[in-house]
Amino acid sequence: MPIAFEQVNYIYAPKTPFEYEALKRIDLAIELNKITAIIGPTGSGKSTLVQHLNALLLPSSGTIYVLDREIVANQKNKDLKSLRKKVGLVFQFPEYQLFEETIIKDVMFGPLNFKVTDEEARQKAMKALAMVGLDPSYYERSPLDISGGQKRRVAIAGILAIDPDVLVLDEPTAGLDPQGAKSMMELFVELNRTHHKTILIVTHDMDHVLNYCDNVVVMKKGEILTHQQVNDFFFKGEDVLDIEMALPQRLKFTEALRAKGFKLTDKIRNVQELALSIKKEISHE
Amino acid sequence: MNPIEIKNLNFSYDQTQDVVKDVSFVVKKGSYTTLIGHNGSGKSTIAKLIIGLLEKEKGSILIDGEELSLESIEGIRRKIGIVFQNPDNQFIGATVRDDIAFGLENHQVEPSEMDVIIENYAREVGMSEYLDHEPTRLSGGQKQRVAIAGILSMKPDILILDEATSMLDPEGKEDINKLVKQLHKENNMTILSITHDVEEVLKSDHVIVMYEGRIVKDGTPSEVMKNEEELIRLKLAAPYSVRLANELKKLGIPVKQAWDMEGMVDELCQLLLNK
Repeated sequence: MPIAFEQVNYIYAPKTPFEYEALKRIDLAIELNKITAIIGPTGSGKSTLVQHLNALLLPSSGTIYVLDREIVANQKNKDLKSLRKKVGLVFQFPEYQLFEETIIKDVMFGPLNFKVTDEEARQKAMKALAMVGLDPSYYERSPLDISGGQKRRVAIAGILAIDPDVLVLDEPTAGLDPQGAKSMMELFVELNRTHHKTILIVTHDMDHVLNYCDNVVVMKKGEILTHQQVNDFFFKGEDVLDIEMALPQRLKFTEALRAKGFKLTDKIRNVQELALSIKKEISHE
Repeated sequence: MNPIEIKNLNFSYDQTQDVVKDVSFVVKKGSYTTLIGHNGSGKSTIAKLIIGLLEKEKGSILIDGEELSLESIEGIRRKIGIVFQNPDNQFIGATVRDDIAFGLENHQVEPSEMDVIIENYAREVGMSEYLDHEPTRLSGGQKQRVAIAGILSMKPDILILDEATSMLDPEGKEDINKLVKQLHKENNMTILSITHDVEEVLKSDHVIVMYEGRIVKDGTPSEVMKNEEELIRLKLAAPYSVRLANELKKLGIPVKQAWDMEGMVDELCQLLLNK
């Protein structure tokens, strides 16, 4: 089974003065084994949406299908633990949730919750830490004594150690330096291509969407505006211009140059291709 | 007199390894200064030292010429507003309105004026509809907008932004940047912004680069941001325009205005016309 939302509503604080409809009749199917970006203005429902994927939030109405599970509104949903083994969710600023004395213990905490032996948990933790680029010299250090970017990696390792099939990340690169953000995105691509994880990333970075993701879901005010392949979204159709979000740098340049009469190649995939296309224009004619 | 003047500052969290090493810099009155560097380079530590959340080991911190000390800290904090990266640690009020009011109350703003101020700033950050909502139930980005409104409404002389817009969507980021720029101009507010946003750096007056606890570069954005290899060595990234300029150079097309998209596009147009 895929991942799908069917007519899902979510209401925060129902029947209180703070009542607020965060998701409105969402219909959405997420492709497995792909990297899907979820973008949209602050407060558009992105975090609310992804927190439904491991039943951290339950729908007020509608149904969610996640792999072999069905989550239905107003029903007792049993054995959520098995779902949470399959869908790992990394929150915004996960580094604030580190708590163990050592990094290795912190990463072992997840697997230990799923009844494995200490030794197995340790193996899983070591593997996960290696994936996020933290070598054994970090194992016995306190997770509180490392930099923000490293803490983020430890927190993500904590989820990877559970070895979920679906990895959901809520703004995983916010606040990371450019190279840290780049290697984080490359890690997700690697997890997707080599380990066949389905990955959902909530992000505000349009360059990341363009450079690393397969599909993109655009949300606004609790609704899905569009759901497309990344290439179609950026290079065909007008949706990308309609959604009032900043264009990736590469598109900003190509648009600005085209507006001034440059005839550039249609699909420019990187900075080298853009330079070549500009050279063609300037050298010929 | 400089709003912020740091001299030979040292700090360590554990008394063994300094995370801030002999740091000296000046933030000029009314300037928009950006402070950049890799994660763990010591940027946020410096922000915390400036407002006295951490205590320096060596060196001096002068705010408007006055040495930061136990005696001076209260007065100094009245001049400085700071917005942190994670909004969850910054809320006090039960509603958005109360939360913005809290800072104003501390600054002895007349209750009769307070409502207007709160509504103005809530509108500026796009949170008017949420004034009676609980801050804890807002999204991450909305919380950050409220935190920013709360600080800006107090019109501090010096505003420190510690990656304050990193959780905002591109449009939200632009709204906040505009608002900050406006206050910066109208009130001659001095701004020190810790950021990873290259675009913001390019628009600032002055940029300071940190690497492993030290200041390694200090100058105008065009001076600091033009060398791609060096930026990569400092674990940073060059602006897209600089990367494109380097690729063009390899192809035999030298561009002069590499740090600025508009300038570069104009220059390329000239080349196209002259052909």
